Amino acid sequence: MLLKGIENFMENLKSKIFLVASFLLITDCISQKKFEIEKIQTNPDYDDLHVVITQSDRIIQECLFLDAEAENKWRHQYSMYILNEKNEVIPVTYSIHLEKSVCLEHSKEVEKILKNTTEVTLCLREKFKKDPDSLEKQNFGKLGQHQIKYKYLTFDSICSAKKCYGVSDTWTTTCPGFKR
Amino acid sequence: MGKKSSATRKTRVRAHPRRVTQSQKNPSGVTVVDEHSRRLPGTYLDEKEIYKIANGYSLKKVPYPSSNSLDRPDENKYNDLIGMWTDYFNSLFAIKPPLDPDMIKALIGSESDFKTNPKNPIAIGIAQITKETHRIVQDPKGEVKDFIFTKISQKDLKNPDIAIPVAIRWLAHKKSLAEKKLGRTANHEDIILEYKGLLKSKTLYKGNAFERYREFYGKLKK
Repeated sequence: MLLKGIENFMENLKSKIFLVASFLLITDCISQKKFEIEKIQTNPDYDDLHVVITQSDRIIQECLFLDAEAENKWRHQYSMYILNEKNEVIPVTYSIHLEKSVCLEHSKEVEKILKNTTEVTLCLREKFKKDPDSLEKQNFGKLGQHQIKYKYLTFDSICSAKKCYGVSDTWTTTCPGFKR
Repeated sequence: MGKKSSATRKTRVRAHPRRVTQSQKNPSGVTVVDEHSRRLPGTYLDEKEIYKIANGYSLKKVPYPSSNSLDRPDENKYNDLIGMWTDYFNSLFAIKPPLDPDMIKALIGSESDFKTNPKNPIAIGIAQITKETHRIVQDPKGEVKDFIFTKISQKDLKNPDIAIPVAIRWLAHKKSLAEKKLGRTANHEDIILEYKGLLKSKTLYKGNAFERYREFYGKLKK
């Protein structure tokens, strides 16, 4: 009798766990946004601000070597590329040039956030403008190779549900909710 | 850049005795200093002289950089220093056309976002002066021997009071280098490209690398 009770209880528990897991999976799929961008209104003297919500696999990063002359050989530019819902690439850059190790350190901090979550929120700066002259393509692995279609935006911050990383103290303003 | 003869701005100092602390090496307390050349005042700047000039400079006719918003916390903190030192070097070297203080301000913003110590193991301070440039601007036999800095440490370059005159002197030199390379008068973009080592660079990303300076300069000139 007792054994049968336990068996019934276990069966119930299994089906409940299955139901909960299915529910979580479904809600997770529904709530995950491929790409969403919202412009934040600020003082007209300041940069335009944009909050982007996207899946973390739609973001890739690199440190570009600028190959300058003479004593300027250290210059690298941190770049991030975001794939929007139309499979157009939005390029994002760090506001100043960095030495390679500093650029890689920055990239590593962003990577930590991208690896530990499926959805991220970014605060980006500057005007969101199409770049009709760009021919450059970026490879997003299993999501394919896609063309850059916009002018560079400037990196401010990136957040997962648990953690934020950014350089928002560089500016007098930042996106609402982003740590300073 | 107007050149002043360096030959007339040096003098020879004959060998002479100098009192030193008595030691095993020097029990008499007197040493002989060998004959050497000495730079005359007006051909170099040390920290003391930098402060002396800055504190006594007449700011009446100094062309200041624009105070238009660049959305950076410390963007207008260094306007006096930029205006004053730009005017000083424009007059000293009779630079024609003169260096534009808006160009200097936009350069500083594009190099450091007006942060006095951005993280960079190679370049230092608000103007991101490299360790190599720091050596060159103090070398009495180097490419800027006509007018050098002396006794300025790398740590001093984290101080905008020191870094700004060093950067402007270096930029004046870069202007003349750009003009030699181009065979014409350099405009503000040529000078900045030369400062960043991008004037003749074949980097694919020159446009992107220069974007920040253009943005700042454009906002200052609005």
